Amino acid sequence: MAGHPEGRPTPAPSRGLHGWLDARYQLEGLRGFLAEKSVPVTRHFFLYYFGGVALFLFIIQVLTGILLLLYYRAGSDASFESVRFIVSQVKFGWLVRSIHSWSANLMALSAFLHMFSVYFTRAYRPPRELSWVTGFLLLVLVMGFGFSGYLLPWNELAFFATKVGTDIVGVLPFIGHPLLVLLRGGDEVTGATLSRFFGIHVAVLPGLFTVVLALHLLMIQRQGMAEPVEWERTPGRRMPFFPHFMLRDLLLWVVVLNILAVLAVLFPWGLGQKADAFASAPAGIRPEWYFLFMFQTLKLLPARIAGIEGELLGVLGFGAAGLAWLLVPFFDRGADSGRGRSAMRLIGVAVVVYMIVFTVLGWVLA
Amino acid sequence: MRASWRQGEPRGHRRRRTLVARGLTLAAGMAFLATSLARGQAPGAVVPNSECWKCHLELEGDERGPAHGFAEDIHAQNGLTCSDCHGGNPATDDVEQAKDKTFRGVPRGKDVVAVCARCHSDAAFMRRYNPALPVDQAEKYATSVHGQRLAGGDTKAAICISCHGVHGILPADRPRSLIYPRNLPATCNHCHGDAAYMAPYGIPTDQFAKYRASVHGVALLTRGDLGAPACNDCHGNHGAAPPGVEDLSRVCGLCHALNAELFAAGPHAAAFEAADLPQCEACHGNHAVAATGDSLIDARSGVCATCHAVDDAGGLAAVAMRATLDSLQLAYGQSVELLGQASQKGMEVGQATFELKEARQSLIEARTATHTITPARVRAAAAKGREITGRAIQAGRRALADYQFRRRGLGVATLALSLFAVVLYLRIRRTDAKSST
Repeated sequence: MAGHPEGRPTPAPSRGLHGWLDARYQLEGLRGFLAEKSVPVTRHFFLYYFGGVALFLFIIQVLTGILLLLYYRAGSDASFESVRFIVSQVKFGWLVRSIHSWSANLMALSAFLHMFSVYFTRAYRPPRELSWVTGFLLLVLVMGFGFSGYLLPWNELAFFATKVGTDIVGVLPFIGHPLLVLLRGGDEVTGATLSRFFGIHVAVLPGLFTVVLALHLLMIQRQGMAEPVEWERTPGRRMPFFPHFMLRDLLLWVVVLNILAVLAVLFPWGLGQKADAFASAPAGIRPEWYFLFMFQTLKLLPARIAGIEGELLGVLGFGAAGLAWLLVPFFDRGADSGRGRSAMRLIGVAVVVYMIVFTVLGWVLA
Repeated sequence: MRASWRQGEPRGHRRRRTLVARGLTLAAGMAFLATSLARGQAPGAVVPNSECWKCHLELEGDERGPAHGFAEDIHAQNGLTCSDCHGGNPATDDVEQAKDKTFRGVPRGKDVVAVCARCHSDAAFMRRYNPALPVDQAEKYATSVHGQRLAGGDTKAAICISCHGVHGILPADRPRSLIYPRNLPATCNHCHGDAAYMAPYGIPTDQFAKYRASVHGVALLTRGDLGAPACNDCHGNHGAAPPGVEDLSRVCGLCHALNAELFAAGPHAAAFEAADLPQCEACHGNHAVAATGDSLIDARSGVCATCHAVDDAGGLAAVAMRATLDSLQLAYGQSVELLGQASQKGMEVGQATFELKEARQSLIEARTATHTITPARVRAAAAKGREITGRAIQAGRRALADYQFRRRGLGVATLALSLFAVVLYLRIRRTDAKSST
């Protein structure tokens, strides 16, 4: 094996399996990387953990999703029945499904918290613009997972929520109707929609998510965690990643797993009634909570605003806002020098307050 | 016929043709015309093409009566005018000329039936307006108690206008029609509930009060269920007559077909006939028919006790049937309770709950089978329900036991994870301490 790149003494060759692997894959390099990796310790230190929690919950999603796939069957005459079979007949099927549903929601929450923590600490500033962009794309994909997965049990609430949700896509000019037909597999929400959503949920989104997640993690490993701007003048304290930060990460993961177990057992995810396209829409139709602020806004918009259809204006507005949010690192020119902190903070607080208020309104008024 | 139904017939010739009044009439006519054109109807369909109508509309008091409401009358809507029933010349506004030699005035008593029958018994004529409408009303009426009394000279007997009204006759499917199902009991009660009016006939006058409180009356009048029977569904309408003892099961069997069939196959059919007992009515009553319950066949306090002792064959059959029903009802209630508890705790019992619907159906079938008065038939009908409720009770108990298992499992898992968290925490502290030294 080659000597250590920084001129330190070459360690004695290891024996056993480690030595065998090291001889082939140069594990010492990885060990060196881990030994040198550190994270900045700031007063917002706890915010660093949300990204790790989201990753941990994604891993749980993948594992429980695979287990559910063993019994789940997609189809308007099979989905509801198969989910009912999973939760009532399969050993611990109820637990797997409940954990899958709860961890999906906790993952979305962690992703939102992670995104806002990055925003408020302006950690997206150069050279980490693409970390922000890939992170935002991951959040959009998480929401896509939620939207497509919501329909899969083929129950009443999901059926009508999907109908309402895909109707919103249909208001877009020119591409609205073709996009709606593409999503639904026809003009109405049917078994064809279910098949598409299933394919999107278990193949398309996981594939995209894995690629974007790999890029996101790679960027973080290459660039390390962002340090406060002030550290350019006065560097602060750092903590070794391994084992110090990793142990803390692991502790939080165990706590999250505990919370997940309590939620899954004490508040098992209900199945509801099987979807019936000919039944009247039930009361209280609402999408997953992370869509509520948009849903409620569209509900409250007047039918026409300045001669334009209110809903269309709302959808275009959300599209523009999402794009602006994606490009925040490129707009916020003062991030490296610390300028414009108050303005960015004000925008962030306004966005958070708006999202919370409209989510609560959507929950209460549904 | 009631005098009140004829109030408002024209008697005088007072004419008050002021320019203003004629202008108002013309304006009203134009309004009707505009409305009808907007609805795509022929103009003559809603504006009676009759000078009689225009003049009577200007009059006041009783003389205005015939004109009031005629515009929405089904006959006016089909282009018929005053002269089609009363004769005369509707084209002139001169009273003398209007009441020419064809003028018949107000038809009275049995003449009313003949006047209506002139068109309503003429199939060729009626086909032009409503081919689906029967044309045998007058024929049936002649066979009814009302028709026979009228033929015998009883002018108090109901005639066409007693039930249908006079100048504002609406089709039966209009909610404001006197013969709309929900209004029909009150229409019949107008005469049949009047004790003084009905006194000469010696029949009860409390039918409506009883009907209104009955299971049929509550369904129709309170819940608005138009499938529930009104008076005419049992008594007929134009051929109205009280059903005879031997016809009763056929009348009730029109709706309760299976009950009637099972009753006819059981021992009670012949026994009731021999004892001259009205079939369904003997146990269920007539106008006051109440919602049935399992207590109805209680051998001590139910209807069975009217004829049977507890220890005779009929009483023993009642005891056996009641025991079967009670047993299934109890199992059904227990199933609902257990599955409800499990569901409330978040357990998935959808399949068992769905299957329980069949147990409910089985209970209904077992109750229906009591009309055979054969305990073995009731037991056979209840067997499927017992099987399903047995499975549902097991599913409910299993779900509740599983719920407890989950809680215990959660306790163990939480404890293990918490211990692991403590170990990690201690390890972090030790690592931190080692680093600082």
